[in-house]
Amino acid sequence: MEKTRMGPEIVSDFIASLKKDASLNQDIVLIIASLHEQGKLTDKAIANKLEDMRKQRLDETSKNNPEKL
Amino acid sequence: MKLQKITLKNFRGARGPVSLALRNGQSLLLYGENGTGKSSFADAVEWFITNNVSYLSGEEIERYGGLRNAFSKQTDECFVEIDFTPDKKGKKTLNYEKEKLNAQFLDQSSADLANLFQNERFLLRNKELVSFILATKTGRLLEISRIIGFDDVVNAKEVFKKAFYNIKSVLDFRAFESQIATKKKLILEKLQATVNTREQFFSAIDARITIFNPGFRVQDKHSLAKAQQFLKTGADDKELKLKNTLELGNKGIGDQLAKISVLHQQVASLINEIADLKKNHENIKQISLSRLLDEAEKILNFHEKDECPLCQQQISRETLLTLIGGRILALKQTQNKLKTVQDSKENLLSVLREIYQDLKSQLNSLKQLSIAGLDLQPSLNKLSIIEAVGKELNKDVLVIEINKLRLDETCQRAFEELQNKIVTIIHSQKIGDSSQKVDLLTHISVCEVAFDEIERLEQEKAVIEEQRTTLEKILSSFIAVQRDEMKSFLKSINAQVNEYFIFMNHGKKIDTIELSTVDKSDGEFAGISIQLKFHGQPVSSAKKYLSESYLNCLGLCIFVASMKLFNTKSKFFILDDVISSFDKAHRVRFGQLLLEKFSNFQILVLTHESEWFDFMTNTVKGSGWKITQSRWNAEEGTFLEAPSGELKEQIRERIEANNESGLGNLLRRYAERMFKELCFDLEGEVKFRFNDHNEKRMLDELFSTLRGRLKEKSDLSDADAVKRLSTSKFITNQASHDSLYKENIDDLKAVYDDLSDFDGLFRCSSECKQRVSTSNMNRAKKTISCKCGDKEINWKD
Repeated sequence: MEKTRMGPEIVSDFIASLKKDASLNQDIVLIIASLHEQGKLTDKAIANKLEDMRKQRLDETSKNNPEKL
Repeated sequence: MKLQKITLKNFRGARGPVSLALRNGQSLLLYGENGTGKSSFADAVEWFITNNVSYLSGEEIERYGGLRNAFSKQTDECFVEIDFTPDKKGKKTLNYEKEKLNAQFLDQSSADLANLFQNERFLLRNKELVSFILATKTGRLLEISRIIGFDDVVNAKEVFKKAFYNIKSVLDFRAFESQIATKKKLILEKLQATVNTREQFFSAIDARITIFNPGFRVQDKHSLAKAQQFLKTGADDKELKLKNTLELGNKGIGDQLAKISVLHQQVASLINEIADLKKNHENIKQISLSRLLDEAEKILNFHEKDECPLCQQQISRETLLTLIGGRILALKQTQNKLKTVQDSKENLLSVLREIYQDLKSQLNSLKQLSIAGLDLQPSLNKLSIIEAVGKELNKDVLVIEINKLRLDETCQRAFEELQNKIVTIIHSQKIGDSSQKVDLLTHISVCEVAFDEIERLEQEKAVIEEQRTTLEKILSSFIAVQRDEMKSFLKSINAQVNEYFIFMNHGKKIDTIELSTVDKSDGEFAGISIQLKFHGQPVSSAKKYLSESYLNCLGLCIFVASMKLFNTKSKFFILDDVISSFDKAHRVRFGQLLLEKFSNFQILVLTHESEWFDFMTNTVKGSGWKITQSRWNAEEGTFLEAPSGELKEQIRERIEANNESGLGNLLRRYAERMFKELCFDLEGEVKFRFNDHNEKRMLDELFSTLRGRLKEKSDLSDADAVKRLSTSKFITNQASHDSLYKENIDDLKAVYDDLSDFDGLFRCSSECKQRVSTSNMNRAKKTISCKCGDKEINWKD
């Protein structure tokens, strides 16, 4: 019989595999992994974290851009 | 590992502590009427391992303390203790700490023990089977996922899918392309150059300033500031301020007009969505009933009568479940639709707020300058239209009046006219050397703002697009994983499911059965279909060809097969009232399947079906199963029917320890058991009652029947032991919570002695230890005796 995995194991293994995928934004992967670890993986939680991430990225860009007009 | 003992205190139905001992991991057949708390044991094992009871909502568990016994006080200890074979024990408490419920393992080894079974499948409830029966192909994916423990996969996919669509809608609503294009157009108009980079921006300004011979080149931020200072020298401050305000007003209004043209399409599509929703007005009105229907579905899982528990209308339970299941599904779909429209409405409202605020601020700046020939009133009037649309959008989706959402064309036209007038005024300014410099200076200022905004919009767009790309990849990879895992699971399990299904349907019209995945046309994993051979012909509409009982049977086969496939640590599984939808033939075959195919497993079968319990009792007799019944009373909560020997042992332990807690109840159960057994052995006849009511007899009724029987047949009715019990308040008081009679340990010891003496009148003290029985009657001697014949009492023929 083939090896099969249970639901929680599949999700955990999948999220772990995302960490090795260089084509993905690893900050987002980190957000998902951390929410999953805390048992708080919901679309709303992801949306909030992504919005924070956007704000932070834009603030950093404006701070680090001396050429800004 | 198997279960050796489950002890509950103040958990669900149990007040306790109540223990279910399973010697060396023996299997269990537990009968209990609804409401006697038999499922409390299944709930306890589930909660100990998963920290959840799947049919209760998180709110019921966390907020309302739904796992604690309803009659327990906040200060009462609540726990679940489980002994596993070999020699492992875990305890988990659920107590209030500072008004908050706190679930806690006693120690690390308890937590490790629970963790060991995290990924295993050990419990199947009636509710899961009923949902499976009612499910469509898509729904069946969900229900099979639940049965085999794939819920997490289904839930995670929904999360990834919603997260992806959220970010996609942010991108749509922000209309970055249109905003950037408007700003680039302005720069082209003012600097007469296409600007995409910072270098191009400086170079465009440098080209424009050359005609004034500034004596330096504009190529960076520093030289740009120098150029602005150069252009400012000698300029008329009033003219400069006027032109700056006009230029910024022109730009600001242009930006917002670009947003308004995109907004028109978004409003139009929102109007369609709201109109669609309103067509389902009746469904929407009933969304609030979802919770009630969810509750009704839960209640029906325990309600065995063919009538509606609310209005008592006669209707088959299964029909009612089908109706409610369909209703819940329809309401959930409407609810999801409503949520999507609400999200669109919120996104639209935030864009409209930006437009309104920006236009208002532009109009205020222009108003302060009191420019001759620039009539702001028409635009201010139209601003109130935008405000009115905003107010409408701020309402609940269901009360929004669609006709109040439209931004009429006159609104857009009023601002276009205002923008044209501003441009005319700008161009009508005197053209002199000084004015040309002021013109360029104001153009540079407005383009500076526009270029900053372009950069910010591009960065923001890039970040969101990157997020969208990543979420899209995650979603599509996960869908592939879900499909592959399910395919692999079905491939592994099909043979086993088929074997069990055919075993349970031997000689019936179904030949083979196979589960397979179904994909949507766009490749997304859509559901699971059941293919079968019906009278040798392959068919794929399981619902059409399989009755409820067959589908129930299939659901069970999937569970036991998946349990056998997945579980590596646990050698036990619990079936909580799973045969309710089975017909008689399937019930019998299922019992045989359990014994034949799962003999090396510990099986805990909980049922409220008395006929099936009787059948199973006969089937498992001699196989080492524990057979018992759960009962309930207000004082003890759930308790298990124990053999009198076991009860006697518990009573002795408490008497020796001078522990009167619960002793009265134990003695009552012991006396009741003894009197019933004696009524059976001596053929004492009590009044006829229907079904389970026959079991509910008060002690005094049983005792007076016995006494009457002894008076009629023997000379024992005047024995001291009989007389003592006749006058005992313990017997004559009907319930242990009778306030007139308070027991103390000495009274209870005396009662135990009286009961033991009474038992001694009939029980053999030598070899067999059995009581006398009318089945061992000696007609010649006019006696009845125990099995070995040593104990004998006179008995009139």
